Amino acid sequence: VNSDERHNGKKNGHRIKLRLYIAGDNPRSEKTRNTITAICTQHLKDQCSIEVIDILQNPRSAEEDRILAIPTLVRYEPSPVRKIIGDLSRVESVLMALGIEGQVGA
Amino acid sequence: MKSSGLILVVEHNVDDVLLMQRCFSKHLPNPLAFVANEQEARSYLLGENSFSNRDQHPLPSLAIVDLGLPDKQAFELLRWIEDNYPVPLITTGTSRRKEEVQQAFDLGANAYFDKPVDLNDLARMISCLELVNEIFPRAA
Repeated sequence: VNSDERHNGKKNGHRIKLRLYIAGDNPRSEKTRNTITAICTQHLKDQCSIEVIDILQNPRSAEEDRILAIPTLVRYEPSPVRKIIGDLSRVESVLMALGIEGQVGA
Repeated sequence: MKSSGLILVVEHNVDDVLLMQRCFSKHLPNPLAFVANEQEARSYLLGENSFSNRDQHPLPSLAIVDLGLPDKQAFELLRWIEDNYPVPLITTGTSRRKEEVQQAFDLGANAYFDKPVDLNDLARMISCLELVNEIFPRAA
């Protein structure tokens, strides 16, 4: 499923803009998606938007964004762009990689 | 990650190299290549000097870089790899200086593991990765 998910109903005004790249509709993709959604909801509150891209349905997007591995979580804003790979299940590691550790209420 | 993908490890600490060799050979099918500093890593990726034979020294599918290389070599290397050779980049180090970890991510690092690294955890993470050029072989 190629989905575009926006949390909290805001199109603009999010301080942190993320894009999650997965491959296919499978339990692993679902787990990754749920993990990142939970991080956004619980740790980043209304400051985060996340878009989910399935590269099997949208391979061009992965090419354009130079995605090398799946799963990849891309932080587009704030700049500079960061790309984080792995199972993304370690919340503290994901927050540190996003550079928002300790800056947003948990 | 499939077995064809070589992992290039840039690590100057001999003990860490030995531990990584032992753990990865047990848990990952990937061949490994070890280099000790920034210059060797560049030479490997460029196929220069003793690394000119690509059959013996194939290009890596993933790189692991120790942020603790002397003289901040790791940060120069991350910058150079990001500009010249796109490959998933895992970094290791001590998080005493968190600003260095943030700098590493800004320079293109894709993951960070604290030392001493839980190598089983790292191996598990690598084994779960799917490389895009394996999903779409024609793009390789």
